[in-house]
Amino acid sequence: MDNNSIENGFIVDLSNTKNTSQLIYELSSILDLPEARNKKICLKLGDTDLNQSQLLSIKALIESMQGEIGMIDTASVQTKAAAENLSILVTELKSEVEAEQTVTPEEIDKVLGIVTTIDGDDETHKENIPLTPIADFSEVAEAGGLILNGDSKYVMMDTTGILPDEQKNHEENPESLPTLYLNRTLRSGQTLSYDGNIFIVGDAHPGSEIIAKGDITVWGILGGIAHAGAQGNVNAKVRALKLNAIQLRIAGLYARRNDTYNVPYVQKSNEFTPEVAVLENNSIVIYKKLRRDE
Amino acid sequence: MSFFTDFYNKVFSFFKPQDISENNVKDVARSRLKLVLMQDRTNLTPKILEQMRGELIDLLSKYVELDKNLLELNFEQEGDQVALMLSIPVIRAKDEKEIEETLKKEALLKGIQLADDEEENGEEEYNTNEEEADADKTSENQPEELTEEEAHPQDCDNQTNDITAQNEEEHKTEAV
Amino acid sequence: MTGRVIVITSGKGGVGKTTTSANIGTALAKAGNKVVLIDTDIGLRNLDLLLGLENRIVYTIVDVVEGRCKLKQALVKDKKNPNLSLLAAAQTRDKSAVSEEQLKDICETLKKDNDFILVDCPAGIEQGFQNAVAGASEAIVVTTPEMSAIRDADRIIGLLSAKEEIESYKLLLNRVRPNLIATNDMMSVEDVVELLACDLIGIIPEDTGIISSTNKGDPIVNDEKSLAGQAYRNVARRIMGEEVDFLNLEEDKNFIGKIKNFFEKTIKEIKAKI
Repeated sequence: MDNNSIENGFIVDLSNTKNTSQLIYELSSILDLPEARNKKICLKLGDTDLNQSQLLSIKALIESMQGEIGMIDTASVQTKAAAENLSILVTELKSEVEAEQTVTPEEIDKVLGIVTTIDGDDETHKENIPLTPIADFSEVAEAGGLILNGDSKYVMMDTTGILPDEQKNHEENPESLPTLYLNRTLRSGQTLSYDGNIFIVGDAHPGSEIIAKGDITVWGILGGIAHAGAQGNVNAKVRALKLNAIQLRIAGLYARRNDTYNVPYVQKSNEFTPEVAVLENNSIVIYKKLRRDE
Repeated sequence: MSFFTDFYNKVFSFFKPQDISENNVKDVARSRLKLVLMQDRTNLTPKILEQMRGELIDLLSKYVELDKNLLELNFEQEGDQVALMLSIPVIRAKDEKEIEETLKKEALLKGIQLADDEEENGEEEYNTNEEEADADKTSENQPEELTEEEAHPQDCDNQTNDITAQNEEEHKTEAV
Repeated sequence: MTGRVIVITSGKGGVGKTTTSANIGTALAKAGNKVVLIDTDIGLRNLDLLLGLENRIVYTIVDVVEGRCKLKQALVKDKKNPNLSLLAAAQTRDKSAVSEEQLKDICETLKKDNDFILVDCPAGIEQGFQNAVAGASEAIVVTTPEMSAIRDADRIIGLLSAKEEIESYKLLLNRVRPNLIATNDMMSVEDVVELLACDLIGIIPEDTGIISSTNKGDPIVNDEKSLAGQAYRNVARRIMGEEVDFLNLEEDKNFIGKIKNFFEKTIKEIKAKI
């Protein structure tokens, strides 16, 4: 908002809302805050499509809550047109977090089986190895399964020579391992490692490290490094209410957060959907919901 | 605490005799830093500097009449070497008679030193106490190199270690 | 080839050591040099964040010294510039994890196939500082025109000058605010240089762009328009041995002065080309 700065403004970010009713619910709860009173409200709408009457009711809602609509930031053409008709100031800023592309089934077919260049530091590993990058969760929901896309949230890393020879990949049922249960926040610089499963009630902040022989489950936001099946167990999984790990490691395979999604801190929300990272076909795949059959 | 601050300011004022306008934050910062850096580089605290300055004045005023308020004591660094720069505005050199007289008086005072320890001269009380307390522990600290400008005291051995006597002596000298 | 090992240090924290390391490193690499940045702030690493490489780090300097990986494996290549790589500090350990000798060895090894090895030093004068300085033969002391930063820089200069291995040390004055200097609210560049009695290698103006560049993980030298970026590029050129004039941060207020300035600049540029 460099060019169209608004005095006494109050930014409301609604770009993550999925439908109009959710948008209005979020907006009204934010406008209820005392800080938002008598301010010029700047709405970040992301790519939500709104027609003129919907926008008019949003405007009315803001005015009914002692506010005034200042400007709208939208990526949607329809919303932009509607706003212009109502003579509301519009900016077309790309949202800071990379705009999530909606993937049509055709596109999914196209990207399936794509060869992604791996992230090699050493030039000797330059050959392309077919890898399955990790799907972005919003896309998983739409396609009902895993998606291959160069723009995904995680990228596989070159892990040649990372695991020592003696730790060969093996299959082991994590259920047979003991479990460490912790009720605390794991902070930057703290390492938690255990010869079994790890269960944390709390967040794992960026800079922390969790290393487990078996599964890792974080009942909170996972922001650090998580290494499940650290001794080579390919059956190990990483679960979290919000998977934002800077690196996900399962057995000998590592994946790093894609640069376009490289945001260290995610906002807390009461609407997180649990996510699980598993090994499939020699790559790490993320599912948005915990499957019963796992 | 304010005792220390006063002291600090007093010492501080020695190195920047001219008035610093309060608005000029830059100059304040500069001179404060100059002093602080000097202390850091030489390990001399404001107290020792004050003491050193006082003793130098006492010593030199036996031989020359000098403007005490304008005496400047500065450290300068060239490479690894720290030099002590002393700038003393001399009003008048004393003649031989005067010097002899002063030295005699001093010797006399040494004889009766500390006889009336309780009854100290009022205006110098502050310094005296301070210096007495510190005289022992600080005597080891010496600057690496001494360069004296404008003044060339010939006989440093005459310098007395007794501060009380010195201060009284100073007063007598002033009266002459 | 034999690379130059330069330690970037300051004594005081928060004056911009890491920003300086990231920017000078990037600028040197952009100019065609092979550069390795070493983060020695073990336990409080940040250099990876400024370069936007935090998601790529698998091995750290501690893994190297403890033999869990080869030095080459631990070097993370920059996203944009293949000439630049980072040897990250471990976040989950402390300063005692690496010794002076070990750092020296790492620097010696890296010297063989790099032009520059920049060592980002932790704040303070304790073991972390001693380690970082161990392998270096040159030093850049970062300071800002503030009392505490200058005092700490003086201490660091004193320590550096006592070290035989350090052949030269230069001062980099960061976060200079010409408008505050103009109103006599901040010490001028000349004041600081006089107080510290140390040669300058650069003057970096305060730039709000630094904040956003840090947030993006993209050093400001990559922003051609930024004044701070320009200043860092100039520092890199000076390190490479070029003679570059210091940026004129004080803007001439009158019109004639501006024109004069412009002509002088143009003439200099023409001369430089000839």
